Amino acid sequence: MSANQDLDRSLGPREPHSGGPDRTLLDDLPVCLKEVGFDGTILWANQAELAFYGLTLEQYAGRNVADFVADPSSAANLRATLSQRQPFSPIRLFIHDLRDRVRPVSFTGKLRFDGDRPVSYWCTQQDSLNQAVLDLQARLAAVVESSDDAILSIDLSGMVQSWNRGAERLFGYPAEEIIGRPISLLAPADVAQEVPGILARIAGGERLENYETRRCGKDGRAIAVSLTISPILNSRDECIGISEIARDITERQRASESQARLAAIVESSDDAIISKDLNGIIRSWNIGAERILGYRAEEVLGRHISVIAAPETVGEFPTILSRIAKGERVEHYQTRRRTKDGRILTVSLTVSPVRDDKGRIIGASKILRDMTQREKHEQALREANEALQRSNSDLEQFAYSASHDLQEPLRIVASYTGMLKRRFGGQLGPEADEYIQHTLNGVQRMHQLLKDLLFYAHAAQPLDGEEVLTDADAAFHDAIANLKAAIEESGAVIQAGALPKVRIRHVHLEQVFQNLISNAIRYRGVDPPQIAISTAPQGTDWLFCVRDNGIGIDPKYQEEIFGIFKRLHSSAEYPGTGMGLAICQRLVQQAKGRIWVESESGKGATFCFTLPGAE
Amino acid sequence: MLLVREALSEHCRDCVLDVISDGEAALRWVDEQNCNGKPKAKLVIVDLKLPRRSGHEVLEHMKANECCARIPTIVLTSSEAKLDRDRVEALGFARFLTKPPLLDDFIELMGTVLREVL
Repeated sequence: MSANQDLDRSLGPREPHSGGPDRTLLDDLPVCLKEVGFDGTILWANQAELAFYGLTLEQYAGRNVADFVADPSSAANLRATLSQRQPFSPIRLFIHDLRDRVRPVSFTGKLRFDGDRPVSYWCTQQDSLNQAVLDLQARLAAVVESSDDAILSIDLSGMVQSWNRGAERLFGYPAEEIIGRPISLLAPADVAQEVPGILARIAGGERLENYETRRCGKDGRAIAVSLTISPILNSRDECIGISEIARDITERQRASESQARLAAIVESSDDAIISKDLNGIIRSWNIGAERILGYRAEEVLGRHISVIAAPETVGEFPTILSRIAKGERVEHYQTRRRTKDGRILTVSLTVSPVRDDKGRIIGASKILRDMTQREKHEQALREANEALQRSNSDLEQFAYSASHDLQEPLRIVASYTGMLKRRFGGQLGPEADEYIQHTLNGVQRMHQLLKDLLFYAHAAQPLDGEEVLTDADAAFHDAIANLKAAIEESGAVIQAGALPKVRIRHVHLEQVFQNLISNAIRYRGVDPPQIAISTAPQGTDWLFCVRDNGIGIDPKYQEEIFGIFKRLHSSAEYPGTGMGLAICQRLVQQAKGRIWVESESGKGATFCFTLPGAE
Repeated sequence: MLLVREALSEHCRDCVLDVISDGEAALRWVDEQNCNGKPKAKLVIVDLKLPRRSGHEVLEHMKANECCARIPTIVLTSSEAKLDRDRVEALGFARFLTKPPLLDDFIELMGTVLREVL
């Protein structure tokens, strides 16, 4: 009461005002009451009013009532109303209370008269909410604020009115930036047209739950969201706004997409993909497993994995499971499994541990590939290869023996025909001389053929890992020396730069050069032969080209000329056995190179071959 | 033999040709040689393909006999095998010649050899 006495004293000079109730009476009224000047200055306030703001009269009196109003435009309106010096019926305002919370109140103003003259207002202030409601509101606000979901409200025209921290996190807009702006800001262009429709349905009282759509963050990022949208109803069930709860489902969606993709891969795999738990119980079984092992998924799910064991492999399962339990992988393990109809398959297994999201091993995934067919093919291939090698080596042996053994009788023919010529030449008549000469020509030709065949059969012997490195320069010069007579006789000009070192036997490379150059000389045109040898690196190989200006080779024969005894000309036109290029091909291939020709009829020929280099 | 005889008749009418026609006999002939008298042969021609003992054996036997090793020796063969050639050349005293297929060529080659030796 002492405060009131002080108050009375301090406000003493105004006491003479009459025509209104006594302040002492008013002081104890449960209604918030204050006396306010026409400029808004607070002149006096009762206990209820002071308690509401948490101020003493000394602190409160003298301040302007408009300063407590939450928003500037309402404050300006209030000042304007007060300056009218007219009573006013309740106006709704938001004011800051003692805890600086914004509270809705209604203000009523009645004039206080001094005689007939209005001197001030008696203003009553009615709190729209009681304390229990305020506390509940505070709790709800705290829940809303701390939610991981974005929770926001919008008014019926689609403007954002509230915005929690979850919304700030999800969409990237701070509350002050988005409140009062249209919600459509959050809709990506392609879903923007759905927004008005949704708002209209909600305003009509509908509720949308777990509606999945996309929203767009402040940074333009698309966010997959699940929305729950409800109308906010007042006490008369009128819709006064819309609340929206948005949950980020980007991760969930991504996870479910990648899961779907993985599932599709597993299902479409040709391999059997099976998962089992640590007890060996089958937990999944794809179509590949159905196809390879013959059991349908529903027949084996829940059964022990040993159902597919081949009799002698039952013991493997505990070993595999114990390795898996230790976190080890089993890779490309060749073993045998049994199908539903009892066939035994050769399979390759890869088994890996399956872990839960905490990293604990909860089972195993097993990829099983049927190798039976492949094993059969490999076996067939091996056998075919062995047969081929046998027949090749038989053939080489045959060629060697035949050419070797044929030499002897040929020598006898040669010797006696030679004797015949020496002893009786010129005595048997010109026809006999001619026959003898034909016989000797045939003998000589046969001798050359057998010699070449022998060489060809001989050249089949592989290098057998033997390390040979030949200076192509030296081999080239040896070949030139062997061909000295032919070069001089034809007037051939042969050019070559420096040649590299390559992996082939010296005699073989010498033979290749010799055959190619002697061909270039033999198949010359009208001009003297011009032969150029060039080289170029090709990866780790060297490319050699022997170019001439001779008669060339029709493209349609360019494969054929490398065959044994293949000749495009009669030996009368151009002498030769038809073995030269076959030998070249064999020697080059033996050294892991390739040989081919580039030519056109009448335009010279370029024979190219590759050989592995020193590296 | 026929060819050698023909070549000798061409290049050395005074030469006498002794023919030993199998390997065993050739080995015995080698054993009979000694250095006291004049060497019986001015030139030995060995064929690698002989009945009973091979030409290689005969050559090795000659190499072991001090006198024989001094007689000019040629190996006349139809073989072009490098192995045969290497084996002959390793002995160090005989020349390895491959018979040309045609008689005329053979006689010419023999002429060259005989002029060198005699």
